[in-house]
Amino acid sequence: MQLSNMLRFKMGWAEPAGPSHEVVLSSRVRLARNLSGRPFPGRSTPKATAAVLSEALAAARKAKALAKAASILLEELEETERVFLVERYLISRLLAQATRSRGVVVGEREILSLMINEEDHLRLQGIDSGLCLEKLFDQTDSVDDDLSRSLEFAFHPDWGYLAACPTNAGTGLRASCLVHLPGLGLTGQINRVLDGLSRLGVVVRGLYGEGTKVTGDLYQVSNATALGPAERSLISSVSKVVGTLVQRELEARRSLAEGSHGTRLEDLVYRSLGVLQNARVISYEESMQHLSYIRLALSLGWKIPASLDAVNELTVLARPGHIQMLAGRALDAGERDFLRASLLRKKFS
Amino acid sequence: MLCSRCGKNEASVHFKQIVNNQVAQIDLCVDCAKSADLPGAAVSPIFDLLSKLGGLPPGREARPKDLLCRACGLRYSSFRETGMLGCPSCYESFAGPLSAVLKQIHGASRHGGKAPAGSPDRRRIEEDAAKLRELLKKAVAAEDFEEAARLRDRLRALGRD
Repeated sequence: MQLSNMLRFKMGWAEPAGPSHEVVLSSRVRLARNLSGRPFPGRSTPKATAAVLSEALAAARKAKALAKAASILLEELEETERVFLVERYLISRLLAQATRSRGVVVGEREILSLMINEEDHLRLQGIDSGLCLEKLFDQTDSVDDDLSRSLEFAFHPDWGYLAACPTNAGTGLRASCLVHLPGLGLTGQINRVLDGLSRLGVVVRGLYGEGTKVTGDLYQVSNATALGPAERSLISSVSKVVGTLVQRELEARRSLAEGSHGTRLEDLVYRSLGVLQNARVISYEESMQHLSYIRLALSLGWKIPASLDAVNELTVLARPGHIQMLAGRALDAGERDFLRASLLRKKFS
Repeated sequence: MLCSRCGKNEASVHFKQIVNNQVAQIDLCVDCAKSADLPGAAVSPIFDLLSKLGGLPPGREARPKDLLCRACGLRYSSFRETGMLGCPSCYESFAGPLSAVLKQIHGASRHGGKAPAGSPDRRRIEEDAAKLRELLKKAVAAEDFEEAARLRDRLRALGRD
């Protein structure tokens, strides 16, 4: 499969269609599964790892929802292509590093995907627009059932699905939402609001995941534990917390758009638009900050020469791997910043 | 800041411990941290995580004898260093200390979610849910709403509401 073709396809989650999409960029549900009686990938022999890959690919072909999915073998890809898949949320950085007998199955509109031989034998994922964790769990749950008809999963009556890291044992579930919180950022409430979340059984990370700084006012909120409550109960806790965050963010946005604050916000937004329309060289971090303000303005219904789906897509298209994919070759940072600025000028002209 | 244990050396190990829902700030010097059997003294990611989550299970778990998983050859000491298990059988091989670890991470030690299609556990869950639904119907018919609410909570816990 030519990965560069994927540049032409829209990512399902980028379409601003889901509930509360003006704040919740995307929701994601992940289920970790392992095959019974096999060492986990980190301790597996090359032969055993290859066997898991071929069994998993065969099982995926039989799963109804993955019938039209593309199977990608990591060892057949260039490094730029692997980075491209990481940026599209289809594989993890870990999978991009260890390529032998590693694979990913990607469903239509990139909504469902299945990583094979990452930290666990299988990592099934559903990602879509807005606050839609319940719907995504229904979808992944059904694929999981289909897979478990072909594969025997490691399962313990007390500890549930067994995972390579005990933090994932139990349901193997991680339910997360990528939320855009520029309003809480600009009104100075963000730290107080996020601090309060840790008591509610959720964890908050920056856009890139663990241990990285926050880019473009985007935060990931996910469940803190995976064993004990049923999947739907874990999902409902995350949904409730995110629902509250949405309300707080919308209130903050409204207060920013009113009265004298409104002029300051307008200034901020149009300065950002000016940069995006005119910059000749721009880093990913800087472009994300400006895109964040444009996204805020669009959600307030302002007339800006851009659409919400284009801005959503740009949060991925402006990343280094995508810029290189667009160029068709590896680029140094300077070349990427130059090409990114041209891309942005085109999108905002 | 001086070490809160010896009060002599500069404290360089800082952590918070939750004891009976109270957060306590602990500051130790390197020597006291090494000699004390303390959460956070271990460097492995999982134990670092555990210490953040409120400290290691005390006593027995902190110093288990080095168990071996016969299926994959992983030693418990290796799990302590990396936080990663070797194979599904490790869960049985290290059941003693691991059950404490699981409890510590998740605050629960019994899976309440789904089971693989066709497995005996799945059938058990389905049967339990069917019985509860039947009882719920009766409770609603009898207008015993307190009982109905209780039954609905149990169904929810099975993930079948």
